[in-house]
Amino acid sequence: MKLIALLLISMFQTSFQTEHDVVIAIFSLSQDDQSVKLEIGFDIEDYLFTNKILKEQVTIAQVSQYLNDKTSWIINDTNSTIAVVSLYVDEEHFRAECALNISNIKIEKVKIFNEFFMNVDGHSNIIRLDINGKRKDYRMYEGRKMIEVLF
Amino acid sequence: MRSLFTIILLILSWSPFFAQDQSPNIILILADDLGIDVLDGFGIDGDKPHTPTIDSLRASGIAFTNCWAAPQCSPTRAAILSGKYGINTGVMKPPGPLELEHTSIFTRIKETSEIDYNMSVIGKWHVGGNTNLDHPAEHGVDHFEGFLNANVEDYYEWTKVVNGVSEEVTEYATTHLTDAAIDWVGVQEQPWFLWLAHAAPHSPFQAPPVDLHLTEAVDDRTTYFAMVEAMDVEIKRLINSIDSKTLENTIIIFIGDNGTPRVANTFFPRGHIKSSIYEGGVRVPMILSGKNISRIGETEAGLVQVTDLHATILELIGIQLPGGIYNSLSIKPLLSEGGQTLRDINYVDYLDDGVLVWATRTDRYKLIEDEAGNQEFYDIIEDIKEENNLVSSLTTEQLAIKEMLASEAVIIRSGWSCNDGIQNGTETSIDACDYECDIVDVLSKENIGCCDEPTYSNAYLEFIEGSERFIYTNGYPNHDFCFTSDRIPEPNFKLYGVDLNPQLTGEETYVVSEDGMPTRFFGVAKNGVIFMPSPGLPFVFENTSTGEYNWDWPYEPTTNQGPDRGQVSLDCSTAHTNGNGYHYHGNMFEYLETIEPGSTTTSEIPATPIHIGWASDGFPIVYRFGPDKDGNMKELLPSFQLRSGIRPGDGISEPCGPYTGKYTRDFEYISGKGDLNQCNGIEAELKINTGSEVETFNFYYVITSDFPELPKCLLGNVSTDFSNRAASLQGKDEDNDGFIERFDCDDNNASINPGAVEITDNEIDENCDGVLTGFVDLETQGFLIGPNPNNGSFWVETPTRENFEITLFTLSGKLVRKISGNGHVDIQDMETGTYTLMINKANQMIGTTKIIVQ
Repeated sequence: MKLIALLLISMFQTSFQTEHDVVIAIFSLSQDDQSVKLEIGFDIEDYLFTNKILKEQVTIAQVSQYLNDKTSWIINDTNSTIAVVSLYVDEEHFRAECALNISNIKIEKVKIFNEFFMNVDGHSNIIRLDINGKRKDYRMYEGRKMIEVLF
Repeated sequence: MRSLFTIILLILSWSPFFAQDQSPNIILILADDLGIDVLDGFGIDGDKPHTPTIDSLRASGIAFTNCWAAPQCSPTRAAILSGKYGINTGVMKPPGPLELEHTSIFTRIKETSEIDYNMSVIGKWHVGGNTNLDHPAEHGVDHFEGFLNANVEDYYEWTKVVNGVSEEVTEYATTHLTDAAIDWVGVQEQPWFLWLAHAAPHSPFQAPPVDLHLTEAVDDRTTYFAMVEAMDVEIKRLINSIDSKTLENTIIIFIGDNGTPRVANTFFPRGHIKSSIYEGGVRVPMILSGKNISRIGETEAGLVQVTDLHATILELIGIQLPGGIYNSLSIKPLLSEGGQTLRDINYVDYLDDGVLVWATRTDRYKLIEDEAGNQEFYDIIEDIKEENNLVSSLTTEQLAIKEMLASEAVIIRSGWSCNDGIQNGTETSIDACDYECDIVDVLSKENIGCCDEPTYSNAYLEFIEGSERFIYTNGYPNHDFCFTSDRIPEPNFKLYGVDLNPQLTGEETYVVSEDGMPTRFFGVAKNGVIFMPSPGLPFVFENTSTGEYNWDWPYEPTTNQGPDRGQVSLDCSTAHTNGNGYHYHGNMFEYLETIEPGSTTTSEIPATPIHIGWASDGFPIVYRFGPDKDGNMKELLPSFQLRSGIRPGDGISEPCGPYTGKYTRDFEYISGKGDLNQCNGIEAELKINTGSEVETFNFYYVITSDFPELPKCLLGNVSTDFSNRAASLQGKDEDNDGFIERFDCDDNNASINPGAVEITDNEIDENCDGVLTGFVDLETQGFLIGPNPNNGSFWVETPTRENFEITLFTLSGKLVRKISGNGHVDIQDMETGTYTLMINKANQMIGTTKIIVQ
């Protein structure tokens, strides 16, 4: 159907569409044949409040720094550094697409430390893992700052 | 090129295609002293009375071959009336009374049913202790006409009580009671329930009038047969007296109240008949026939007992129960679908000459016990006469079953079974007993209300192209709403395409994927807001040790709505906002009140369905009310109930405790419990006015008052446009009228868009349909066009032999045909849809008109 095809070309794809809005940030770690990707969605106000900066002062480098300060991603016992590749605003949220400095190995173990926004009352971080076709979801919060998942 | 659109208006009322709702009438016919051996079709051979009417009921309905009554009439009647075993009412022998603390079915219907039923008992009562003339009325009977004792003293000369007043009758009792029933039914103007308890074929054994029987009454047994035949003839007379329309809306239940008496029995051993707890005393024929009994001519061997009639009748008239009530399990699901085991155990008790005796059975084995500790154990498949007591020679398997039955009897006799499929006693849900779980579910069914009003325009546009129905929307609610945190509804532009002529595929497509995660929306409401029945994260059970979400156990949104949950926060339309935009999770109360005030609370059946949206497979969605398979408007009930027993979880990796409704998985589908299938749909004819025409569908979905409210699966070809990952339309809506430029013929003027009202006699096309109302139309210019509507072929007759350009556009502005010609011009092979036909001459437009291809 040509009309639909035409419209689809201009459509906007997003991968943050199934979560509801509560006091959470979403960390989606996925691996396919091509790469390992980390996508993060988090509240703009919380970010500005936590880092005590204005919206105009937010940069990719700064978000990368904050992420590496507050989270650790240890994959198959190897610590990975996060590099934000793109950052954009989606209504009240930042969406960050990140790369991890690991080769596209077969992931068997993921260990995560996460204190992202733990200064915000009641905050939770939702970890969504989609590794080799297996999907697992976790909640991290003040009382659970580390998880270890075997695949 | 100007965009050419038309808007299909939301039309919610139309000419009534359906009759008013007809809640089913019930006729319960009790035959007095008629065991399973007397009638054909219940598995016991031998000579029988001639019963063509009862046989025809069996042929047009379902016959239950493993139904237990009590060994005598009063306990059976008390069991049906109360839904309780004798041990719980104290009525374990004649004549009762059934005390008023045991709510009768008549009182319960009055207290519970939203439908005002007229209810009558005609014939034998015999649960009031023989002397209290007002006992039927005290139990909620509107009209009583019959006798209070075990039997009439003489079939031709007996005392009748009519609503507390006695009078003498000299007419044959079976005929007289039938006349009374015919008279009472004949004056009913609202749904009714007739309990017709014949005196026959109970003693005294007196030959009926000769024209009522074929068997010659020469002794007690043949007289008994003749009395059965007379009853059969009179049942036929009653049925024939009811007009066909009323009869179509009536369910007839026929049952014997206990086993066959000694004088008529030739099959069961001596002492194993009426007034004994053997099969010859308790196994009775039961037949259900009539409205909504879709198992025609079938035999059901599942375990049933007379107590079950109480719950079954309640569910048949629309009162849904958690499995049943007290000791009464609704067997309604069996009336439309076999292969289901509802009861694992039957139980009956009896005060036999002062000795308390009781029996339990599985599908094969039966244990009889008494208060002195005696036990008998029979294989009643192999030994229905119970001549071979196995109790002293049990196999290991039989011993285990005997102990299980004995144990179950102890529980039943001291309280309430945890294996009966009924929420009773102190159970918080069906069979929820003896569990250890520290987690107490908090359910919140109260939404957070409305707190804001729309600040954007709502946009909703339907149009048809080819074989698809398209829906353009900005997904923004057209009613008040609320929100928490920072998720305020925003316009979210979408275009959905669904099948124009949807078909059932035989496959179910769920709104969640196999791993439980939400994957698609169910459909879209007629205001453009999407239906999203399943929740996403974080509304899923979380492993308390590891934090891992268990997608087998997502929360049920409709029971986790309000402040107690804190986070779900569904608003006055049971909706909230996430990345997919504003979406409904349950009954969209505020929206429905906007389109049909009072519709969310009324029990009145509307004359026409309330069409509120389209499913993603193209079938329509209506709210609560719709035509059933017979075309009668009614409130359509879902077929789900809370699961029985205890959740399997440990409370750490998955939830523990009783099924409360907190999680979607707490509910199970029970085919035949309500009107709707597993996807809350029904195969019935629905006609709806979609703006351009009245469309007919043979299947539709229903938003129900109770779980699941929104359907959770689809049965047609599902459009990928409803995937969670399907993208939104990009585009600007400069004039904030809800229509992005692609769909708006003037995106700088909010009063011009496909949803605008056309103003006549100006040169502005306010509603973007390509037709200027002030413009000269083609007919006045001498053009003839026909037929219109058409099936894809039509012609244009030009007024002169000059060359004209004839152009056809879809409503979305796509050019589909361009022809030059004059005289008679044929246009063929057009796809279904609505088109704008434009005629030009020398690049000057003469006029336009709409062409409908059906």
